[in-house]
Amino acid sequence: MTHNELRLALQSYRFAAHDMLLYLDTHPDDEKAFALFKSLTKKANELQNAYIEKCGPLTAASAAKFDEFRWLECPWPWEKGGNA
Amino acid sequence: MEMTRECRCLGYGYVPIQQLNTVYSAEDALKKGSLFPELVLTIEEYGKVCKGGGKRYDS
Repeated sequence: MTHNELRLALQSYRFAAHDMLLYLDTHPDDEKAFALFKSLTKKANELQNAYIEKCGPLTAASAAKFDEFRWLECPWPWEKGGNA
Repeated sequence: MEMTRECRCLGYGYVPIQQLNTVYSAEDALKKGSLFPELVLTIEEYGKVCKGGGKRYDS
């Protein structure tokens, strides 16, 4: 996947997982919903790791995963052309 | 105006409880703005669903 495809997939799964989290706020005992929430979150976490590995730090904290300090590299992920 | 003890509820919000049926794929959910098809409504549809007590109807 390209940087942009990875970022879009990550955004999609984070959004979907969060929407399911909001549903669980009012339906805490819904096992089907919880299972969906777990699978969406697992996929989002996998995509995040793949994104960081390929594109560099996504958050300041993830800068600690690298051999040298890369967080000050431009552009930042949210800037135009970020990590592209 | 001093609130007296008798002054209990001022109003009662009614929100139909959502039932989990189908969900969009993650990719579609981001485009549509929600994971839940039943929540993706145009303003016209929203009005109809509201008056229909949660069930979609075309008056």
